[in-house]
Amino acid sequence: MLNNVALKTLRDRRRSLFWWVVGIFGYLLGIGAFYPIVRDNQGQFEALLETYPDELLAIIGVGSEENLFDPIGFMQAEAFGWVVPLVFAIYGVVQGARAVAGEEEDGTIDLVMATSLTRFGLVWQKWLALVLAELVLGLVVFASLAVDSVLFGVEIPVGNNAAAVLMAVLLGVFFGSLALAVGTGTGLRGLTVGVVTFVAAGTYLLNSLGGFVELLDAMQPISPFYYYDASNPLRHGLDAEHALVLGGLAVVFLVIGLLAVRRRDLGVGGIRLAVPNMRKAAG
Amino acid sequence: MSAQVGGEKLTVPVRLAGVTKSYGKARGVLDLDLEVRPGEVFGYLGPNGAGKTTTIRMLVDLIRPQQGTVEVLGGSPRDPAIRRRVGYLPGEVEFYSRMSARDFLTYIGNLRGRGGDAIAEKLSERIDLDLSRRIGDLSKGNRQKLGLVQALMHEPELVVLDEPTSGLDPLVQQEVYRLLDELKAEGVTVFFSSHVLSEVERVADRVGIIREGRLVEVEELEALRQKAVRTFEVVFEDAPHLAEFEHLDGVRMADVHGNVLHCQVVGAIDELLKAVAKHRVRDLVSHGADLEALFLDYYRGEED
Repeated sequence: MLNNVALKTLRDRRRSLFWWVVGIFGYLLGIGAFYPIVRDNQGQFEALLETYPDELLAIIGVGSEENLFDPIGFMQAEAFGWVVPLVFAIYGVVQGARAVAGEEEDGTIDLVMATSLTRFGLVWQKWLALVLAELVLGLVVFASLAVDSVLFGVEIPVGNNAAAVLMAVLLGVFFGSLALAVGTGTGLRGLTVGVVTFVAAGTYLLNSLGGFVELLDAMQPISPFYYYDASNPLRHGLDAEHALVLGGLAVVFLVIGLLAVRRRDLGVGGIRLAVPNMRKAAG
Repeated sequence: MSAQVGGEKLTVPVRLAGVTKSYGKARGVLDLDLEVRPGEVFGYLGPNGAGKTTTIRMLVDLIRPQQGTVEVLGGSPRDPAIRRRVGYLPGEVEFYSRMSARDFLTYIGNLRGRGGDAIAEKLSERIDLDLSRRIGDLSKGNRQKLGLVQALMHEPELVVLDEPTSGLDPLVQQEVYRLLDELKAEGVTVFFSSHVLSEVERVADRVGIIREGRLVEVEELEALRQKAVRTFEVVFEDAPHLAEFEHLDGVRMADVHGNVLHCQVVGAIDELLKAVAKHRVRDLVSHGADLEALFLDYYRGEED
């Protein structure tokens, strides 16, 4: 685990990742255990939902025409509509911001970068660690749903489970890569978390309310959350185009991060471009 | 780039040419020219905020000059192969506090692709550093030792140390001086910064003095000593006459109050001591060459 930056980063994250895993696994198991009760009391729950305004349901990820009482509709409403994407996105933001900006603020970047490690290597391995960590979270969600299926009869086809999990991972990698790019460009972890969290919350609301507010409807496609679940992968399987949009943009952010770090001063607490070799100007 | 030294072609370990790096007000360095000779211990002396850390961080490509060129071991510090041959200790060294010291050294060794575990173990044992401990549990002195071990474990050709003894207790300081002496004996070039003149005197061959981002002087240590100001306070049995001392060679300022003489001496102290010895002396206190006084000297030199 000490061979390179990617593995070392995962090693550093193992404790916090463990608790994220415990949290999401516990949540999905709890939700699964709840399913038989909902299914057996469908009438009462329908009456309750009638009283909720559509906008509120939208914010918690329940589409108005969705069947909430079959296993897929239930899981979409309780997990994949809001908790799962937010967990993956937040985890991505935190890790992406820590990746380079965190090491700069902690001062550990000095010893790491004084070795023969290249800046390119640092950024891309940090990105790799982010992707691997999101995949671990994804595998846990996938396994949790499989357990729910066996224990509580929340039956979801394996392919659809995998498709929905993949979209969640891509969403997390998208926000993680955005945070990595901002953090690598600025060297400021706090600023990065703030800005990217704002973007995530804003685009989440934009997507949720898009179905109800006409003005926002046309803007939905600028929200990453739109690509995450507009095609409802849990019910309909993978939408390759939407997956490519998220994955492609994540790679674009990685490239931006790689370019941003090339000309910066590291560990000086702010954006400072180093302009190389203007000797003539020195006179 | 090479220079002829003792008939052997040797790479110039550090060469800065017209280097400017500014952070706005009163920070950074201005039009710096500096060359460090192979195998020497070069002391980079200046008060806090003079630009020492800025210079040093450019040598390992953490920051980059706005103007001029930085050359290390005949190449650019941007080249990973060059950095692999350099050992670096930052001024405020920070580690991953949850790792063990040993794991940290393994990691750094792996990043360099140059190992050094065996040397690290040996060195740590010698300077009494317990590698099995969590870095967060190490004292400031031990963390500094760890910083030195990681800077030396890969047998670098150039060692760059930013205030290596700052904030350490005297015992650990002595340890650091011993290490520097050994490096020198092995022919390793050392570039270290300090704001303490006595420390530079103790270990350096040559000294560069930096003030407000400008290199004021680069001198052999001997020449610097000649310029250094020392203060003497002599208590006599009887009251001497000021005239006996004030015109002596090297005495810059003298003052007699009753049976006490206060004076400042630049360079040689021989004449003063002989004049003092003509009296019965009850006590003599000497304050070592004072850095601030030395800088004041350079001020005056500029104004003249």
